[in-house]
Amino acid sequence: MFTGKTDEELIDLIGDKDHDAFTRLVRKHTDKCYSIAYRMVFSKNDAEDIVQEAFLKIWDKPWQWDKNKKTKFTTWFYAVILNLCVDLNRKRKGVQVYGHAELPDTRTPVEDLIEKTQIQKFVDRAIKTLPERQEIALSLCFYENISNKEAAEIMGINLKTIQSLVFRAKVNLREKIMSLPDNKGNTK
Amino acid sequence: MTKYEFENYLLIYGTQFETWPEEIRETGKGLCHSSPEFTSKFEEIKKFEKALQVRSFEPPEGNLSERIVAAAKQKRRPFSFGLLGSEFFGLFLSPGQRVATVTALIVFGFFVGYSEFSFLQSEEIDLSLFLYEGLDGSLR
Repeated sequence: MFTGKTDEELIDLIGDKDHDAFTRLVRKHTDKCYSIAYRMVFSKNDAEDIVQEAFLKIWDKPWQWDKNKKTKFTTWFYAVILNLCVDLNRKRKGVQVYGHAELPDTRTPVEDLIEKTQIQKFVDRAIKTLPERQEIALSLCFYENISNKEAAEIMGINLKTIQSLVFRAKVNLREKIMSLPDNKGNTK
Repeated sequence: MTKYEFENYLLIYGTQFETWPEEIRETGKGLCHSSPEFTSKFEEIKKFEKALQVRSFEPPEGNLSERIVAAAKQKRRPFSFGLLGSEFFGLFLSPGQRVATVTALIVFGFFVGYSEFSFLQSEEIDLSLFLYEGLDGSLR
């Protein structure tokens, strides 16, 4: 019944308290929204809570998205998700979830260094040391494959700025990550 | 395109040339295989991207979308006159127009309250109606 409906049409129906339209919208966007949230908060439970909170906001007040502004629903909604993530991260700042990214101890045998979980943790930590805006830009443009143009709209900045943020994020990370030894003892 | 520019574009747009802007896409593709220098730079950035992809990711627990839908079903939208007013205004007006309308209503309210329109003024009561003329001709 709702397969042909655009997000804008679904929001209109949600405004009339159409729960089926809301169901359709949720099923359509949950995976992407969860992915964006997870990459920012690094916690499954927190990411789920954020996504649920954002969707319930739409259910309660669908008019919060103003279609007259000619912004895509997803552009607006991803910004809502990101703002919730940023708020949570700022609240948690006092609690060190990820410490300063350091190179693994080189006295540790090489075999230990190559374990995927260790490398994963290292990459995660390195990303967490990025300035907030660089982290967001990298998440959107690299991990979520959102175009630079749409990512700029989501963040409320211009195209040149988002490109600069992505560039600086990758430059910052490249130095740290590429110096990690591989299983032959060579740097990546 | 210099090697420096090529590297910068690889970092900004990635190693998938389909994501590059149209005006530099073909140039980038061509340079990629044109010389060992450009090829090695391309391979280096590709390796870096592969390392970045190692980042951890946990899928959500159970069926997240169905849980959200169920949570919304349990929620009742609270009724309030404010909500009713918002919905009414929202039907016809943009946010800017809503602010202007509310401001105009407030100003009109003050105007009505403090204006000197004759039809709004209460009639003055003639107190002399309550007085009577005494024998000496004075009003009491």
